[in-house]
Amino acid sequence: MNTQWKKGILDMLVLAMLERTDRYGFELVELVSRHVEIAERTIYPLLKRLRDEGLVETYLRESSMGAPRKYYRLAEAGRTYLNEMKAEWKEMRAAVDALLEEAAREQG
Amino acid sequence: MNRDDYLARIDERLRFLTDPERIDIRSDLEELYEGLRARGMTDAQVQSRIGSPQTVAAEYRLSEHLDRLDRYPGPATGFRIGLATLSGQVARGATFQLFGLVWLALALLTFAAAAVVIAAAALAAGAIAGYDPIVTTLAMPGIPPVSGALIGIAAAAAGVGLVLVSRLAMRGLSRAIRERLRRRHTDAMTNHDSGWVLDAAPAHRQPSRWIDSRRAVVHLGMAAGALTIVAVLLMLIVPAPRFPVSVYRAESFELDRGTTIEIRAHAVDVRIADGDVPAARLTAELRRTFLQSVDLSAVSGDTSVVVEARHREGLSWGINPKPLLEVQIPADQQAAVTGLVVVLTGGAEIDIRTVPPELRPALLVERR
Repeated sequence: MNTQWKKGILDMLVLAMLERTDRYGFELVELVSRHVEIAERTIYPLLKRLRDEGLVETYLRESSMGAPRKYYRLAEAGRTYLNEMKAEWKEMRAAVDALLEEAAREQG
Repeated sequence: MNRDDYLARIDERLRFLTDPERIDIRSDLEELYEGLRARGMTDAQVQSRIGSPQTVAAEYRLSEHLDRLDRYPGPATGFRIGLATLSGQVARGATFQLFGLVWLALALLTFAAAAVVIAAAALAAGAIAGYDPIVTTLAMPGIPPVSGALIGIAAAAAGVGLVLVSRLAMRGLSRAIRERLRRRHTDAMTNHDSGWVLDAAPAHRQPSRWIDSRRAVVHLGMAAGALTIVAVLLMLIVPAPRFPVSVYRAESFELDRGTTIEIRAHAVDVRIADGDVPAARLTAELRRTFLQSVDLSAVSGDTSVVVEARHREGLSWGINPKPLLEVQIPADQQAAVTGLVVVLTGGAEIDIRTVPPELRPALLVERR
């Protein structure tokens, strides 16, 4: 996948993964990398930035694996931002699809 | 190296961060490390995947500097990031990209430092001018007080404008650096690149007010320029105030506290003014003291008129001569005043220069 596209949607993907349930950092790394090829370490600075911007919140939860884990949950501002990004994504996807179909018809 | 050594080295290199931030990053790295190990990777593979301690620390250092540039776009911050970039502390591969911008940052730092100095001097000058326009007039003979005050205000405004411009420029530089890094790290998302995503798109942040700042700076600069032009025009157009007659002017003197200067005018055949002709007046004005004037219209013959000027504070002027003592005699009474005696007491000394010479009556200086 084109890296510029990945950069543009990574915020939205991470926030979307937190929309239904809270998750910890590596869990998000695994989820996102299943569908989008990313370097694992890119997620953590991104999460830090999202937290600094107030889009996500963190808390510690006891873990059966040992030390408590830091979990991320979507903040209200993050929910609003995510909805805006989803709307923009749908709009852009529709426009791109329409243009590609039109180009294909002209070629055909 | 093993996991603990690897993480300890990163932690050591992150000492420029606060303890909570460092602990937070350490926690994230531990989680990532364990997660990659759980996939079956060896220590070497995990460390290669995450990056060397130098790389990790350099990326966080650069991110820290850039965040600080956004929050505090001042010369000190720009200097720090410039030094960090030149010393190779920033992200591997980003140094070359930032090289040109670093030199620009250093140039802006010099500009900003000069702007701060100019602003401080201009504000001080403006404050003095506003406080005492007479000071400005006496400091620059021939310039009306209004012009002097306007020059001070214009200089102060220009100085403030310079400081704002430098601040704005540092903000712009911060954005330029971020843009360069965004383009540089386009491949950071793939597993084949060793770069970091430092800033995808902070679209959620409040819109920067730097455009508003730029507009304000432009307006301020235009106002300062307009004020300066007005002040210069005033200097050229408005003639300097001329006293009726400035006969004697003391350019420099020293006075001790309580020193008295007596100025005595010997008048012969003083003409009493009729109609619109003002009465003769002998006025002695000593700066920073009270003013006394004596009306000569009531005297006649060879009469001594004493004008006493008592100075309240010790005062010394020598480096920047200013006209501080003027004896004025109206032009139409010039012929009536045949002599002038300046009596200095208490060790006072004055250096008297005359303006203009053709109007100078005889002058005698007595010291007691």
